[in-house]
Amino acid sequence: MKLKTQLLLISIVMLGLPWAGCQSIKEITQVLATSQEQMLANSLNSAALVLKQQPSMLNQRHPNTFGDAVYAVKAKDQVQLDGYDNDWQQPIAPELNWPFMNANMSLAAQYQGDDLFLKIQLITDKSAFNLPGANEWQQLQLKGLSDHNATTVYDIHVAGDGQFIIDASDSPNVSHHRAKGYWRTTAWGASIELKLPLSDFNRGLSLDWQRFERTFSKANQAHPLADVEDSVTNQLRSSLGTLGGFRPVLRQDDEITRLLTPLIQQGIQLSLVDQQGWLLSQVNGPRVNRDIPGFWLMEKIYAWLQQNDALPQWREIFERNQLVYPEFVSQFKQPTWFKQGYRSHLLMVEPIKLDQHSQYYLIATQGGEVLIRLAGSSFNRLLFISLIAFIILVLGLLSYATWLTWRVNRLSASAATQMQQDANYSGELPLIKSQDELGELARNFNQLLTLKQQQTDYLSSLASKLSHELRTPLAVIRSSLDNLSHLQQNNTEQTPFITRASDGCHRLSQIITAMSEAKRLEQSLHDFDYQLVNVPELLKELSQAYQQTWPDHPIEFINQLGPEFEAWIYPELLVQALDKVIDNAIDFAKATTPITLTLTLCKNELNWQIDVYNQGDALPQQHELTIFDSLVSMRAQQNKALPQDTGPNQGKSHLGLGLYIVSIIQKHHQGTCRAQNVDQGVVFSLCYPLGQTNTQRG
Amino acid sequence: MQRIIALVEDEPTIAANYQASFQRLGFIVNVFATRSQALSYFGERGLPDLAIIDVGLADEYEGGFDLCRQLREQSATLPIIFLTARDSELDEVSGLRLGADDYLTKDISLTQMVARVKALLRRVDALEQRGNQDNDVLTRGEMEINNLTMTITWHQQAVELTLTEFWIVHALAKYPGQVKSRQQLMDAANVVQDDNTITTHIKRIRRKFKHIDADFDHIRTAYGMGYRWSAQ
Repeated sequence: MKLKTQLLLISIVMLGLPWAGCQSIKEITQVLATSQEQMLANSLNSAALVLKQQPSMLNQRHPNTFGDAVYAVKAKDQVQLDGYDNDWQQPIAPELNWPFMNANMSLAAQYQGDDLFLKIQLITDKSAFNLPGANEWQQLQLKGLSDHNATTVYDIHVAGDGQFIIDASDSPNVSHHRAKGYWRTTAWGASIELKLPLSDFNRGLSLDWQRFERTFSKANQAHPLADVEDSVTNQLRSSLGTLGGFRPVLRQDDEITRLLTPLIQQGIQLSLVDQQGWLLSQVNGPRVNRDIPGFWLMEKIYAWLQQNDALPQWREIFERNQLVYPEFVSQFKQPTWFKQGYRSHLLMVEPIKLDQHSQYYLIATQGGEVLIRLAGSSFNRLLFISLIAFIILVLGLLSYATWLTWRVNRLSASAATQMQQDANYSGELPLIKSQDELGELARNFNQLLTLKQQQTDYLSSLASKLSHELRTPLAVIRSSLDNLSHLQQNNTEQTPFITRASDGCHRLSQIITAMSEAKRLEQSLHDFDYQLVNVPELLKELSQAYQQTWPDHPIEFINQLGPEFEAWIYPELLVQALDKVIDNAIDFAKATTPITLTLTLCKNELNWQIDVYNQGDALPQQHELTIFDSLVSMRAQQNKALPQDTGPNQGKSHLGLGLYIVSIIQKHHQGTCRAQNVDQGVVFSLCYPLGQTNTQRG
Repeated sequence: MQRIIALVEDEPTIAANYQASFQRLGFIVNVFATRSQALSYFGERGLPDLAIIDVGLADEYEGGFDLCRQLREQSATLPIIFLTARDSELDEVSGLRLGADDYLTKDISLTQMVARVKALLRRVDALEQRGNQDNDVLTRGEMEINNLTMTITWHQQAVELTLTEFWIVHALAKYPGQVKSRQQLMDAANVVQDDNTITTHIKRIRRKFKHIDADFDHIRTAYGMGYRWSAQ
């Protein structure tokens, strides 16, 4: 696994940081939730206490009222008395219905300031007008019950569509009341809008749709309209509605709202309902920012953090100003949590009991917005900071890994180059001055390469030093033998031994000469001419010469570059190098097998090369690169150089100097040399750069 | 008349062996271990007929070179041969530039050494008796080789060659067109050297001829075989 991958995996551990932060936020959220419950309970208690201290403000049910209440919604706009309900508040106010047979009467109420607006819809298949002379007539009788227990009666009977004014019936406590209304006949009956004094109906309302039958006296049967007062009798035939009883009139009380407003806190909604769930007052605290500043993923994560899956779903608790779920009021002082997406809602109920007949409930709800704002923003910050930290860390680690990899690769490449067999270690390795472990590694490499270079230099100079040191004792032996041979000219017994010793000296002299050849060559390199030479001709001439020298081996020359190929070379040095390679190939070739010289392009097509192939033993694999070093020899010779030989191989020894000379010559050409095993043999390749010019070499 | 050879060599066994060998051949051999001994002797008794000098003398790393320079100052014709274990190109060039007639490594056989000594003495004699020896001259185009004085002229100008170089040129020019291998050239020059040294000798010979005639191109390379003298 590469260094980058390792560090990337390690950086993933950093994801534990936001996880730990999430756990922390979860704890904080729970603490905040408990705190919120406590705060809401306190607000609720305070509000209940205030209301209990002000029982008169609560619109208590009058003992004379019963049945479903008439709930008046506070109108926002002025209601136009025109028989159309388009100016009534939407959703439309709750209605009361009194159905009978095919007829029905419905009532909706709305108030604004001191005015009470009623909308009465009659469904009937008969005319509801009060026409003179008709046998039947109808009326709507409204009764109001005021705070002072005064009853006001409004009888509504009109003769046709349009606006009308009604006067309240005399009452002992009320002098005079007038009201306006509008009657509009509809397809199903009639729609009546009324504007009444709210104070007359504060405590109760009674509505009856009455149908009367008119009877006339016998004396006036011929002229029924002559004297109505004396001759007509109205007999009630049917009545639909409250039948004279009062229904309580309920509405939201602004006074209570004003009373509760100071007690409310941010995000809290406080609602006062009566025992039937009618909303009597509702106060909303200042809103808080509801949303998590983020996107859907944050909401998902936050919902997961809240762990509110098990909570019931939150729904609106009021519909048309009435509690939708009456069972809520039974959850006295029990904080109940609901979920709504990633948000949560808290609901608490406090009962207010004034007397046996008057039971109210204070319902407080608070959304999780406060929590969200507190914890959510922290959560967002945490996630954001963690994400940024993670990205920075990952980028940092990747950059660091890249930097490390670059340094390691640089060191590795440099060391690999320096380790090559034909490279002289210059003592310059990257990172060698770094104080870290890589610097230490570079310094160790430096020591290793310096030792290798020292060893190489030592081996390179060893032959020369040895030859220098051996010449003097050899001269002593040789001169002694020469003298001895002159003294013992007639001694047939000793002469052969002296001759053998002289031969040994001669061979030793050859060896010493060969050992110093490399050094002499290096010293004389600058004496050779750099020339543009027709290489195929040169090689052809050489092949023929080699063939004469070694007639036992066919010498083949293959030219793949064409007869006109010319190159800038040191011809005498190239020939000298080739002599060594051919000599080496002959020595290690199987008897009578051919030696092949091939002139070709290198694979990279930037160099040309001469390949010398011989069949024979393969090179040891590990020495393919070191065979050109000084004093390296490792192939088994093919029984060519026997002691009794008198030819060019006589007494020939393989000290590994010949190929070292080849490497020196190749370096002088700025070329390379290599040896590799191929099928049944070995190929030595001498590579030279293409495109060199005389000017490049100066 | 016996010839006097001065052998300046700090290695006593080698000196003794050479002394014995040359004495057996009728030479008088004076052996000196140091430069000062030799100069002192030469100051008192005069210069020898030939000097064989080792480069490194006792504690003088290049005492032989200094001695050669001092002797050459005293005599331009005194044959001087360097006999040393040092075989570097630099040492050889240095020695020859100082005026030595030859530069030999110590592994040379006594026979080869004696051949050189005799040849050099013969050359001195021939030079002293110039005029009577013209009959032993080999002419190859613009080149004349005097076998007795072991001198070569090109366009009638003397080419300053060492004894080894003379023998190489002589071997090549004797049979023009015939390729002489390096080994053959070594044998002719009475040396045992590596191929590269022969190549270096050839380079040096060409350079000396070209110093006189820039168009000189008579020593041709037969790649893979050796060298030959080209008449054209």
